Amino acid sequence: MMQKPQQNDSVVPVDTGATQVLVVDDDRSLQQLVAKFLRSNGYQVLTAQDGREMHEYLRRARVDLIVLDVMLPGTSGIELLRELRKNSAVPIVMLTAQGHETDRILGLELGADDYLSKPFNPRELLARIRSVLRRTSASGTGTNSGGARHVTFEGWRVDTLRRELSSPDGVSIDLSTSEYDLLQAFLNAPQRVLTRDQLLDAARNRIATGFDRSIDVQVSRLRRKIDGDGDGTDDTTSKIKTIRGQGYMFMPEVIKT
Amino acid sequence: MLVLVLGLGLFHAASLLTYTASLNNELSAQDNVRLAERLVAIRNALKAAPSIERETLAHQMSGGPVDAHWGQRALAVETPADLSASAALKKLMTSLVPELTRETLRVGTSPPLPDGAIDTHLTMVSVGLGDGTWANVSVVNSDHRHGSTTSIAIATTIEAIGVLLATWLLVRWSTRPLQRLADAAQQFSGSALCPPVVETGTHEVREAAAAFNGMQRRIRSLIQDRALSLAAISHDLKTPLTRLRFRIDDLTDERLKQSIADDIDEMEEMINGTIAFLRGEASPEDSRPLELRAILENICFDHADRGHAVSLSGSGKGILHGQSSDLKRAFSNIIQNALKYGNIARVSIADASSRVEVVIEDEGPGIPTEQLTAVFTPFYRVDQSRGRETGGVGLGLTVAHRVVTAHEGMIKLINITPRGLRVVVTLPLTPRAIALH
Repeated sequence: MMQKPQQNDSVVPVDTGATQVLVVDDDRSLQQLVAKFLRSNGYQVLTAQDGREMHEYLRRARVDLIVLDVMLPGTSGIELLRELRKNSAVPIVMLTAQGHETDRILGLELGADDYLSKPFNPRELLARIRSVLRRTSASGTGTNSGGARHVTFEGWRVDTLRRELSSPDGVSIDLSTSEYDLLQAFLNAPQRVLTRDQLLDAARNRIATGFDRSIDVQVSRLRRKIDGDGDGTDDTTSKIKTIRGQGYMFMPEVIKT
Repeated sequence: MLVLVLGLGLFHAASLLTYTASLNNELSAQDNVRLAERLVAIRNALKAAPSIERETLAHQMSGGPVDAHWGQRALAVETPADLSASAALKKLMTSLVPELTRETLRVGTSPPLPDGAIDTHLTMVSVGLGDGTWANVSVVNSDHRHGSTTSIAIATTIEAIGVLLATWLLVRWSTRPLQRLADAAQQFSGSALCPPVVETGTHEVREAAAAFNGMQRRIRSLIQDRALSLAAISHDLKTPLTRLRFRIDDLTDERLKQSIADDIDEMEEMINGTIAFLRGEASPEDSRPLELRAILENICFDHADRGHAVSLSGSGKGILHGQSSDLKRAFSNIIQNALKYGNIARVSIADASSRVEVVIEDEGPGIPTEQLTAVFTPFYRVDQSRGRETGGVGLGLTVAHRVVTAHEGMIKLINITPRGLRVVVTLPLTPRAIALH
């Protein structure tokens, strides 16, 4: 029979059916703060300090999402992620103090669903958790864009791991967080009308600072970047058409590879 | 090298001069002996001959520069100027014929011509024959300059030039490692990208290069240690900062909450700035074609969305080969500075034939002229007291400068009237982007 972890927190609470999040962080104070915050937002939270405790919980309880710190004593978060992905599709949000682009990409390539750099703020974490849960429950997999690493349209190319857009000339076009999220929403539903609410929802996957701007401004900024010479207002030549009274439609054919 | 050429040239000229002088001396000394012997021979011959034959004999013994006559008077006019010059000749002659005295041997010039001029090309020697008559011998002053001196000069000069050339090559060959060493020392910035100096050349040079490489290694490891500890501290601060963000979530006083949140933001910015500075060249991101305009748009819109006065104008695209996140940080730093010190940031971008120019203007107090270059040095702040109030650790422009330089661009700061600072960044476009123009 397995030994029960000693800590009070490790006692598996009664499963109320609410979404259960496992927070793995060796910093006990932060772990408790995150747990408290998530509980106050309606989640059930389990906390673990290292890989051993994490595996313990995974064996004994239903875990809907793992918040995993990269820097852990013993087995690193990256190593744990690699192990987990061998036989589990549980959604994982990685936390890191590094903030290197390469770390982020490594984490995502190994199958993390999202990546947050410290010092993040509570709302940001909440938004990421919600977004990942929504995405995974919708597609059944943990990765972006239904598992496709690269998405192309009219010669343009999107790297969903790096969250990067390249023009047909191969020039990298920097997108803001909300522009990228909008584009992704469009790429997931090409040639379909997306309402402003749907787009707003998609763009709220991440808390972009100052995202109080109307969705129209965001769309026009995105147009300016993917339409080439246009100033973001010419609707006839735009890849994103305004559907009067309804919303927007992404015109090009989208190919996922 | 110049010293060497000058020295060798001088030495050559001097030795050539001494050589010619000594050659001349020797030649004139020999000439004098020969002349003295000839004069004595003429005197003795005339003396032994009967009076009637003396003039004929004198003629017969003339020749070359020597023209001898027999007469009742001594023709030589001794002038004080000649005394020293003729003394040597006199001495030689008296050593040959001891009975010659001051009275019977005169060396001077021929008598003045009717117009009073004196032929300086002639030396007149009058030798008494002991019976009141004289042998007057005029000698054409020989020009002792030897004909071959010029050719000697040419030959030796050619030789000297050859030596110089050889020396120059040798010196260059032996000092090139030194030059390399000097270049390496000049370029050494403590970064890992500085290669060690090649340890070749003479023994001494090899030793110096090895010592230099050793020093380079020690400095580099010192810098790395410092960077590592600073980076570790910066990273370690991130977890407590995250905790703070969660802790203030419980605060009910919204104003207090906001001001603490602002403080945390500022600390985060400082930490990120320090890490960006320390990371520097350590892990260069892949360079690839990108559109600078998209980057500037994101920065400007982000600030504008937060309610800052930022504008972006111009139609330049700025397609260049670069490192996206580095450029983002560089322009972010410049635009943040403009907003921090100048309350407004007017950004414009323009493509020229082979480069893109980004201008960022504010309406702040500018930077005192004498500090315009100093602001690029790490941890430098224009106004210490105000700098702290506006936050930052003094790395913003340092990082911007480094990024722009790494992209082979230039960054210039110009104070504008009536007030404000203009930052001009020029970056080379990629060859392909130029071709598209």
